[in-house]
Amino acid sequence: MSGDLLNGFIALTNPETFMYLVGGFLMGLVFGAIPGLTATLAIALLLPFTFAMELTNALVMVMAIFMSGIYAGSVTGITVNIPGAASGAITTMEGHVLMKRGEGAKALSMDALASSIGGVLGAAVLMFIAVPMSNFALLFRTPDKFALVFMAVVTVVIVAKGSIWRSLIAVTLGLMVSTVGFDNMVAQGRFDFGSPNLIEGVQLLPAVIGLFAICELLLQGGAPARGVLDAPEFKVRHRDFIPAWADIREIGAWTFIKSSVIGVLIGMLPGGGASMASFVAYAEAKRVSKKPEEYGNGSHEGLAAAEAANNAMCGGAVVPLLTLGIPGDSVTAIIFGVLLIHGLVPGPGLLTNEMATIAPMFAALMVAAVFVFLSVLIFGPYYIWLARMNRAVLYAFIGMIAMVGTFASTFSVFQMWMALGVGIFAWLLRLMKYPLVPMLMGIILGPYLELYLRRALITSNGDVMTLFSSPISIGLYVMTGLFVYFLRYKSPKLA
Amino acid sequence: MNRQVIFALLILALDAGYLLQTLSMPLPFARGEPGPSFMPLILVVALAVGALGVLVEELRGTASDNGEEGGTFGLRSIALIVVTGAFVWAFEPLGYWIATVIYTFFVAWLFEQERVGGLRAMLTSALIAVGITAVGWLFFVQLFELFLPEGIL
Repeated sequence: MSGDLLNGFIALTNPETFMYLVGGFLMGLVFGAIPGLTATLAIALLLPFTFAMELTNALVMVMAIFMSGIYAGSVTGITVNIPGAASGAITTMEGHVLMKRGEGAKALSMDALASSIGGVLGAAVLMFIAVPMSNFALLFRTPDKFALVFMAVVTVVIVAKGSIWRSLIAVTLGLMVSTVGFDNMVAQGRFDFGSPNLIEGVQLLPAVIGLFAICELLLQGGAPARGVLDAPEFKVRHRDFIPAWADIREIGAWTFIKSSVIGVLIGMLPGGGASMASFVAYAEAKRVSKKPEEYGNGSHEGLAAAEAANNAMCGGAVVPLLTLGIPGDSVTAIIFGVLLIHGLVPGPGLLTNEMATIAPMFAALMVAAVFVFLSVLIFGPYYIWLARMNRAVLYAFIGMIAMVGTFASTFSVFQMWMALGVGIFAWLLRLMKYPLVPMLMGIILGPYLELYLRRALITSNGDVMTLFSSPISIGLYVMTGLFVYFLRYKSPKLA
Repeated sequence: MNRQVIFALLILALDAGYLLQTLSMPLPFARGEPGPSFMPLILVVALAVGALGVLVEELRGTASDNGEEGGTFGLRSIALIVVTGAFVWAFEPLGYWIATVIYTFFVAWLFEQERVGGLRAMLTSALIAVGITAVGWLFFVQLFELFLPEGIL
């Protein structure tokens, strides 16, 4: 295993692969930093291109986007008080106060350092925990697999913000979409209305493009014009972005490590996400802080805790995807699609059989985390301009990549219509404040949920109790119950 | 009746349509195994429960809009749907270059006119459209060697 991991790092020294790593990192940086755009959208737009990419390059690029996109969500939050993503909300609260005090460079450098430390620790945990967990997952029988997918579906519903009923509707609509097309177990079409295009089912690519790219384009169509952002009030040099040793000591290694561990653990929960990771780590850091009064008024410690956690989440989020075949959030759901496109099925057995193929993905996550800190040293003074990008260029580009990308990867105008149709439906859902991530999870997990349920019932001659017949499945149902209790009824108010 | 209630009723109507299609398949366990209609019937119940939950929340006034980000309806969104639909329709007959230049021009103009005014936006949007179309061609055709229709060119 260690040999495969080492080979993963060696794979990154290939100039072409390295260019994909850098390209993905920069793409994530831009998309993460621009308010309204996200790492999820960046990876969704990349999806059509992955058809033509070598698998290693595609995985490396996706991981780099993931890491830098999560980090960059806080950059414009610190500089102009507009977080590029929800995960940057806590950092914005502390970082922008520092910015107004004239400590913008200091805040940005601490932000990047904490993100790097969290990202590296998260990737390290992924490397060490993934294979043992994957081996454990090989013990799962069909009823256990059903219990696992069921847990993921339930968790996705309960962690969504706002009304639980709207979240239930969204995930069910996704599951319904997954039933369109040829039945996997019986030779019969379902919900295809006799269309030769629909008999193949709704493909993942137009679904992802519609849900995230087209929907975002239409939402921006209704958004008011963004005010022209002021030019930065501070003049800084590159060397101002080197964090002061005294600040690092004051925060303490334990804060970085503890926040990172919190981030990894939350990342491993289905539906965990960067926002929850940063909030919980921030709350914990404040609880034990010697200077809790500084929190909310420009605390370096609070900023570092939140950022270390949300980047450590990246490594944690990949664990259930690769070992159990359960994507925990929208980004890992799309990574699921990238693996499927290249013939790899995430889940038990993937790491045992394909470790050499997957190892560069782990290495890329760790190297991208290091890049985060390097990037602030290089680009720090220019970050402010990311939030000032011309909307016309941005959305014309997104529209073109989304629609042409769908055609280029499917050679089908029907799939372009499908992407547009899904996009309009997703836009309506968003206008009504329905969450979209549960719908995507429903589309992805639907076939597995149905397959395992039907297979379990067939082998037991219709005896429903077979679903509760093993310690693993019972344990998973108990965990599901605990998630419902703690995440829905005892959860803190999330940022 | 607020718009959440109307939307929940539309979801119920969609659920009824899905149920009708499901009932055209053999019933579960009719051939000794769950069959293709088993999962859809479970989903019909789940969607109905969700929609009824929304209705009850709204009618009792206990609905909370905290958290999930929504969006604002705008005429520009409708224009974007029309322009994108026209682009898909014309993509193969006109080919990548012509269809994409026209599409990106209109999308860019819809955003650019709020910034610099209608007339000046036509010039900047034309430049943006040509630039983005060229970048797209470089990416799709030159870098990734993917096929794009040439149309009438």
